[in-house]
Amino acid sequence: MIDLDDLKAEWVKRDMALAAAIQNNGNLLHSIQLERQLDKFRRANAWRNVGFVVRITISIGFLALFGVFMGRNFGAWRFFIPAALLHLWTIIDMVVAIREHLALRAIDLGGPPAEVQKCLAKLRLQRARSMKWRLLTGQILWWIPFAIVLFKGLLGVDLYTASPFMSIFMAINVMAGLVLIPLVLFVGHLIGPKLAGSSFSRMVIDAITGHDLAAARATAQRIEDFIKPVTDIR
Amino acid sequence: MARPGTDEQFAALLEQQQRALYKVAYIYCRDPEERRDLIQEMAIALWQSLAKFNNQSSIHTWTYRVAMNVAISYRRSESRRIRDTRPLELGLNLADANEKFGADHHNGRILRELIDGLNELDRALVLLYLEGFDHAEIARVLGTTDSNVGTRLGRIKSRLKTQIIEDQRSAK
Repeated sequence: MIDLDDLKAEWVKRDMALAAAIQNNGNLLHSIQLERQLDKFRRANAWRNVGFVVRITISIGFLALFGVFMGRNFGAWRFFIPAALLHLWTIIDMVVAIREHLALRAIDLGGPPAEVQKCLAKLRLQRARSMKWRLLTGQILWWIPFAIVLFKGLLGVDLYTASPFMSIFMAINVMAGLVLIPLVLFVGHLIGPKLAGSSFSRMVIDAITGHDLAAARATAQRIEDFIKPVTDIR
Repeated sequence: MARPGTDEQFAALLEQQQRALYKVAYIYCRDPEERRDLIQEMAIALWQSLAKFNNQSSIHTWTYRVAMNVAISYRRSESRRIRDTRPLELGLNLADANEKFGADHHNGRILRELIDGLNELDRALVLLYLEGFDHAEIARVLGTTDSNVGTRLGRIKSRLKTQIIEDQRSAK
């Protein structure tokens, strides 16, 4: 019966064939345009930071705008408070994003995979948690409070008095947003795994319902098991 | 090999380690097209990580670690996909390599089935075992203990035995 050592012998044979094939092809690496390849690397490297830089730039822009708005509306609490909440949310979001980015950059991929993957699993857990609460709180703050600030700041319109029904409409929307948090969590746990859809909607659903979190926990546990002394392995 | 810092040294490193990159990609990707993307990600990660290479391990061990870390993350889609998807020419003819490592041979199919059923860290363990690393070396490269390596390899061997018995049963 075939065992792992037979497969190892087979592997060595194939590896030798691969080595011979590479040798027969000559010194190929120097025949390609190295500079062009490295340019590709540099471009890919730059792309990796673009998303982060854009996100931080947008956050700083919003912080500045909310700051100016708060300064102008200091004392007018019905405008100041929504702007302050958005300001706070943006600060927290930015700090979390910077922390995640720095933590990811600090990881040395040349380290032992068990340790590196443990760090990555920890980061993934943190990211899943923060993403979930960003989505749940963001859906409240970036709707009515943002509309109040936007209309007032950009057009000088007071949404509270824009129409007789506007205050009621806004109150209902804020209440609905608050009610939505436990509701989405509950319904998501029930039907989340059965929902299909695009990878984006899947990602949002997973983040809200905590399935991302569960997957991250499972990965972290698998890595822990790999590192633990044998006697502790279940 | 001295610490690779220049473009030429990086090119030499890639040339020297291209087989290792291919083999890691083979263990983690079944699909040849995905394998190409993964090798590209590994090469970029090597280039990015060069500054952190500190000669504490051999360049060969370091390459394996980087490649395996990238492969594990790639499988979990943690690493961002490269926007520029034009294939990278590493000097390794992938079609040729895929042919050499193809699963057309009986043992190749058995190995593929075994690998596909393993989690990401056990795949790394099997790869290093196939590459001829001893238990202590595997433990050092992966960041676990010798005894863990021995136990896990024992389990993988039992799994292989069961797989072959089942294959034989279904063939009858």
